[in-house]
Amino acid sequence: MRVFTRAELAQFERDYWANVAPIGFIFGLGVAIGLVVGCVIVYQILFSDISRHLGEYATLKAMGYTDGYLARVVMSAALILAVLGFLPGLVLSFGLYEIASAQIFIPLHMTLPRASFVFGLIFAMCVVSGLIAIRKLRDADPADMFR
Amino acid sequence: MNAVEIRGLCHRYGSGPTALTVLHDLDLAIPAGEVVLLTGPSGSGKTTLLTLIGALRAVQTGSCRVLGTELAQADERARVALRRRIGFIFQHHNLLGFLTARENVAMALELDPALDEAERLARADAMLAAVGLADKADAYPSVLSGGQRQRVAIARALVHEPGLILADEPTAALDSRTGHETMVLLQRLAKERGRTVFIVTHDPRIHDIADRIVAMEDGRLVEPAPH
Repeated sequence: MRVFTRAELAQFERDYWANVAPIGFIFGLGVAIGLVVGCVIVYQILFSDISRHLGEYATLKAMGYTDGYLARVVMSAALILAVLGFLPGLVLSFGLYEIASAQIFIPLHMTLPRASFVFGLIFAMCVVSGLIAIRKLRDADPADMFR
Repeated sequence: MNAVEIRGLCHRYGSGPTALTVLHDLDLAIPAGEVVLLTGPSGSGKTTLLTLIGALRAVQTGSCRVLGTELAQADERARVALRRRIGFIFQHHNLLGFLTARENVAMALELDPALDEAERLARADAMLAAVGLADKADAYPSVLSGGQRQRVAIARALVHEPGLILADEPTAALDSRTGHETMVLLQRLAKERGRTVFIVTHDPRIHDIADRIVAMEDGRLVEPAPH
């Protein structure tokens, strides 16, 4: 027999579902896999975009643009993808929370810290993808513009 | 004063027994303010020479001094800095398709932190007017004709007041009349502004715009054939 205050009970339940019950583990795994898949997709988008515009990047390099400047262009694209990916995700999550609350009678709230945390994860994901994609910029050789 | 001074320049591709030497002990001086044409058959090393002068490739042996900067042993940072003082005109205009003519020209000024956006666009407009495209400033490259695109490219190469303008087969994508008109325009603008121009070309029809013609064969400078 255990005796809890109300707050302790809430915390106990939370820990149980998050760490002991398999659902918590599976949810965590889902998040991790989601981030990895997202990372690969964002990388693919950036990589193919750089490949398609290799001539333009090489032209800019020939004009005296530094690698750092072009890397910033790619990182900006990565961050735009982060924001554009997050916004519809946020809206969908609001809807899902509503439906889930109504159906299973567990109150679910999209709090600002939670949304911020998810955005942080997506942001980090896009930064990682961007940093990997930047290596493709090395293929933009300005000397290739003359031949 | 020479804009370009080359002494004993050699260049080879690859290494070991398969190495291909494309430039043999080259000497060349381009005086400031002159329009110099470089001709020669393909494979003679013209383009390699152009990329070396344009600081797009590392100099291997010999001396290559461009606008006062020695490129032998220069690192990438020094090469990038020098490229900003050169105007490039490519075989295919190489304009950015998602930018208007005005924005394309302004891209050459983007690297100058002393200018704000309004000044950049104003100078781009003035340069476009000088190449006769004042009314096309808001047009995208896809709606311009080949000759107009190359004139935008000329405006882009001149707008940041470079000490040297390098062009690689600038008439290759144009018909003969347009090609000639475009090159006459380039020559006139360069002369008005005292710019040095170095053009690599196969095109014998534009020989008349040059102050001097140099010819290359098998990686060596030769006397140009009479024309």
